[in-house]
Amino acid sequence: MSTHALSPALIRALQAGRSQFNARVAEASRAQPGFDTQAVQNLLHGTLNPLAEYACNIDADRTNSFILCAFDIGLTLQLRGKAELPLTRLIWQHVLPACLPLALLQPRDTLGSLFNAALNLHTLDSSRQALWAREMARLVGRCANLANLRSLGQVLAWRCGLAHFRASALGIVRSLPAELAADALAIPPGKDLTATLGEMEANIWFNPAQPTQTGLRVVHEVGGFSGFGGPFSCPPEVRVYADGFVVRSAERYWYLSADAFGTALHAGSAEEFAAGSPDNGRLTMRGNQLQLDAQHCDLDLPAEGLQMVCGPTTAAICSPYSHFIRLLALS
Amino acid sequence: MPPLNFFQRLSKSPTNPKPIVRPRQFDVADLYAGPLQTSDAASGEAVALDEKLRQAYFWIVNTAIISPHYDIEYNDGPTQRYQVGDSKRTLTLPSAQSYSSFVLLPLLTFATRRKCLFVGGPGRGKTASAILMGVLAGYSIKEVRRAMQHGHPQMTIADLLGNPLPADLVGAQDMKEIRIAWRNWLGMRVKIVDEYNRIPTRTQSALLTVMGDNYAEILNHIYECPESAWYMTANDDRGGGTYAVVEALRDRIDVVVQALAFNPRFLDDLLLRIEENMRPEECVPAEIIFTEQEVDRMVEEIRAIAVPREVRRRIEFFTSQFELFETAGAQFEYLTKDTARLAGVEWHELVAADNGRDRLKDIGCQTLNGVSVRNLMTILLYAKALAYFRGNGEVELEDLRQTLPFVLHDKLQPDLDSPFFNLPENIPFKADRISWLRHLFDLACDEYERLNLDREDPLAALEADFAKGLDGISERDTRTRLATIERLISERVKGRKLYGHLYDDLLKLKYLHQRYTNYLHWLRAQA
Repeated sequence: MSTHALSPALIRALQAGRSQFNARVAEASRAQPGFDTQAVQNLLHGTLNPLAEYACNIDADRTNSFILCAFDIGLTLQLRGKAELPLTRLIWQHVLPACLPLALLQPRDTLGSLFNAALNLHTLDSSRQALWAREMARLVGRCANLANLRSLGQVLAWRCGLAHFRASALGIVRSLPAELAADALAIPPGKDLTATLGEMEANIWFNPAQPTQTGLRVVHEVGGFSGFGGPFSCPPEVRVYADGFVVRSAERYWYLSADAFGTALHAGSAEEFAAGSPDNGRLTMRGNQLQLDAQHCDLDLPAEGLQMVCGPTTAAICSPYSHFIRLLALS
Repeated sequence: MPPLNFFQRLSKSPTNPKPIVRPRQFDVADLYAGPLQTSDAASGEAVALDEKLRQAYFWIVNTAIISPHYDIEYNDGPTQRYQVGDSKRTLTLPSAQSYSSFVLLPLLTFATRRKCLFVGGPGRGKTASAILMGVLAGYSIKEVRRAMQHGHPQMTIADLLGNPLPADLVGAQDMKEIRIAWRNWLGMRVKIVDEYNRIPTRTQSALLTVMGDNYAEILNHIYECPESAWYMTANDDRGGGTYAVVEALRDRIDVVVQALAFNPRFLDDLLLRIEENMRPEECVPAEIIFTEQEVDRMVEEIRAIAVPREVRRRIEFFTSQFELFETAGAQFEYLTKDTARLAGVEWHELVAADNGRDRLKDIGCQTLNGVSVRNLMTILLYAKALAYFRGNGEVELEDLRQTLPFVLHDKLQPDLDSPFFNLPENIPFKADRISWLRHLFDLACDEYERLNLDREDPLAALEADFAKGLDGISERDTRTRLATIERLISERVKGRKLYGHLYDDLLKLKYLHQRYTNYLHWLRAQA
């Protein structure tokens, strides 16, 4: 292996843990026949080399153990075919350098948390993944400890679209320092945090960054044809279930949760669908407009065969001509 | 231990996902759940014991055992089947989570603290699997290995149980003064006896006391053993050992599991073990090791699994097929195979006299004996354990169908001279007892359905009335019920043939008649 381009810090770390690094590569090669050892070169040269330099400038004594741990994580991601995920790269390049002092103190927990989060977030669309990484890189330096870092990551994950985490994230956000919490949720400066969180708790469609948006309106389109990468192989049907909706398409089932920050589809069951309610409440269609009491909004679907169901805060609209579900905020 | 712990990976929960019909709970902490280890994951949350048991199973089949055979098949919807070879044997690709009996049955034995016999040729992993079970119980490999009893022709009772201390033996004035050095294995919660069919008959009797009654005795001194799971191994369970296994000892074994052949397509995995110097029992993940209290709780939870009436009726119907032997007795209660066996009468003489029935159709004619009470209790317990393992609250018919052959493997003896085994299509059943027993159960179920007994059980109403108790029933009602029983018996005996299930129904009706008759006498005495 050529080492001429490696930094002195990384060379020292490799020399100090030579037998351990070699054992890991040998084990990986055996665990996965055809393991690409070029990937190890890329990990060392492209990823760990700059990190080792930064780390050495912060705490030279802890650099070796940090690099060994980072090498394990990189190798594991490689073996699972996740090393090249865009979010993984963003974490190596931007998030980790921003929280290096914490990572040096607790390398396994910090790296494990960040990259496990990456594996859970990589199903979000790419702009939301990038938003999570960008916001983490911007704010993580203000975390005093690992607990803060983890809470920040969780709140940002909710803000970036994991709507099903809403209830527990609202609980966790209060454990962050107030300014950090406000920044994580993009609450405009000068707004009272407690009052804003109260509003968010009361109204799932309240977005502190866009507080003026209210009333009946289309907030999300969820789904898509499976032939184009979406989840549904035929136009879906929807029912109200618990705090969200249950969806059926070609005898497959999902649970759909949604709020102001995004939507999330989870595997569901026929039992849940059977237990769901097809109630459409007071929602009616007139021409191209949906009406709810005195409120109305435009809808880009033909009225024929339209299925409308209403929960307490949200309506879901399906059409036999679309593989998407339109979600409407009712307030 | 390998640094990246490839051999200690556990399957991700839930290992057997079930439909959720309650409001969902999402926890943002799941954001950090994943394959990369953190101290959160290491500390671990309390996992439900059935989930832990499944994780143990999947770790064993995915990591510890090479080349598992999925012979316990479950289906969820249509399955893919192929007819293979001139003999048209069926290869099934199950459509639901299916299991390897070689791993599952020992694990259920561990969870219920029963007794399992591994059979199969040498070098097939019988002893290694038994050792794994010891490690799952929290013992070190050294402890398990040292406690394992190796059967051999010179094995004495002292080798098995312990010795009186020599000094006490010389100086004692009373038996009570003799102290006994008991063998350590007696106190373990997992007991392993390797090659048990090489143990001399006399020592087998001592082993029987420990296995059957859970205590050991030497010179009037008693050692009470804890409740434990037992694993025995034998290269041949049909008497190929050095000594014949005494019948009572054989009867104490709850399930028999066969170690199937190694598939050489898995040679790479074998090579990896050599190169990595990996022994499964040495790298059992800490997360799947059970404490004594956990096994206690698991036993209780398994006992609490319900057996619905429709499943119970199938067991009743199946069991009732085998004990009847019409020519074995004169009095109605003695028309059993047990009567013939105890009398030592030539079997073929009695069979020849039994000329009134269709010996192909009557599945009772395929066996030499019936199902004992102990066997029935074991069937029920293992069916409960399998339902528990699958994450269900009650036993399904398929749980019963899958466990029953392993329980009855050594218990229900086939009559290989019966017409059934002489049909060309049934020749394989002579050797493959598991398949025969499953086939037997399927035949019984077919007959049960043909008779529509789920909906038209003639005794159901009478049993339900009786189950409410006799207190407060008037003389008139009692007479009505007696008349109902007599009428029912008259209707049921109109057909000329007596089959096993009818025999048991008639005996049950006689029982009910007698209870009501006694009650009627008592009522009159009160008047």
